[in-house]
Amino acid sequence: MVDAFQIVRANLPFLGSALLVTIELNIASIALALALGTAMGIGRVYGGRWIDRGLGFIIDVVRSIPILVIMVWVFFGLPLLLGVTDFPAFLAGVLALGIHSGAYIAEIVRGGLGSVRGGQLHAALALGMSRPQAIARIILPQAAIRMMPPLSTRIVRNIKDSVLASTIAVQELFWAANLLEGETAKPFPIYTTLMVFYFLAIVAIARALDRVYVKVAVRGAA
Amino acid sequence: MFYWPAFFEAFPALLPGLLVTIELTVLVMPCALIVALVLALGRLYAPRPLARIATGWVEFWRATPLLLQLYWLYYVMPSETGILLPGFATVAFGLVCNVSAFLSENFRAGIASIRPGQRHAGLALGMSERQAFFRIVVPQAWSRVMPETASMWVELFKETSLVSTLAVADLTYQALALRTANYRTLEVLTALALSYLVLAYPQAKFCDWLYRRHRIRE
Repeated sequence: MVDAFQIVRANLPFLGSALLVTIELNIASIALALALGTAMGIGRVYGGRWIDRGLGFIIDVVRSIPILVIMVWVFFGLPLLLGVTDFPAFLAGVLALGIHSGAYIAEIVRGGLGSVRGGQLHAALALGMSRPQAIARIILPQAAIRMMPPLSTRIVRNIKDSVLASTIAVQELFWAANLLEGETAKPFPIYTTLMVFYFLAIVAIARALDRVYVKVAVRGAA
Repeated sequence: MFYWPAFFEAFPALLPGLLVTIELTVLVMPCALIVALVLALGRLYAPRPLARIATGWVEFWRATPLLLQLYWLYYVMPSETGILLPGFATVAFGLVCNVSAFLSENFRAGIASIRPGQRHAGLALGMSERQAFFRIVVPQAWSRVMPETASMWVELFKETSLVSTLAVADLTYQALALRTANYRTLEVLTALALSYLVLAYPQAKFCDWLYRRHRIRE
């Protein structure tokens, strides 16, 4: 008991390399989610009625399916549908997390864009900007600041959901912990260390995002 | 490519799992609501040390991955404390802790969002503390808290899929078992996704409707 955590210390390099995979997985999937979410959010607000409805349906479908199910479907099912062999687990993890978070982010973007008053767009158009210019330069920057609190919640959520990639054998942190537990049969030190680590990391990231928001919030005030 | 008979045959095989998923959701939610209310009231009105402890507890469950929480309860709790619960009870307990933490934050914010003047007005009219809370604060907080609570229900319904990793035979577990039995991976997993979709989609739409109906107008 005194040195139960010896097992963790001895395997720090192994866990460290797995942490790197967790970080890569999150950066890639959050980037994908932001790109997808922004595109879909803009499409819903400015794309006209039918694009709005179509995207709305797709977003609701994605949001109705658990992330774990999306993950196993993308990893096991999608390659069969496409006739691809050797589909990398990491790619499946990025796709699944990116699509899942992207659907939620699309709704955040839609809400943010909708919160910028119509007069802003009219003013930009009156100054001779084109519609895409007005959206990109006037509406989006203001909306982006207002979107930050829900976005940071979603980013944190993405980090927590990323442990599910262990179920499709992405060699991230939780996968490594399970492997170690399987080899040593010492769940207490391994899972406790992981728990403390995730707690501290997530609280730190949430605080950091919050601090950034507090700094820029004034510029987003209506 | 897509073998339709295997797809249709999957649904009856998934049914027992679906019942476990529903059972888990229906069992966990009321428990989580009660725990969440206690936590929220504790954070708002209990003496400071107690409120601090409640806040720490809530933060812990909110800031760690659910899957890790369930694994910890499933593997560490029995090995360290000797408490050996059945798998179903373990994951139900974990889900209650997790969901109640999120709900309590929602409740706390909802109650705190009602301006103190409302309570003071109630007291000025001769109501007791308790009366002012239950007749003035709670009814107003309720409409702010309710949509979020409903979407937590849908969230829980989906989150129960994680218990499949701990050998609790829910909907996801049955599908993954069927997949290894008949190797109709694409058909079985598509049937699985469709099952969740058909069940969760109307619930999610209902939540959207609740949000629209209870939009806050200051």
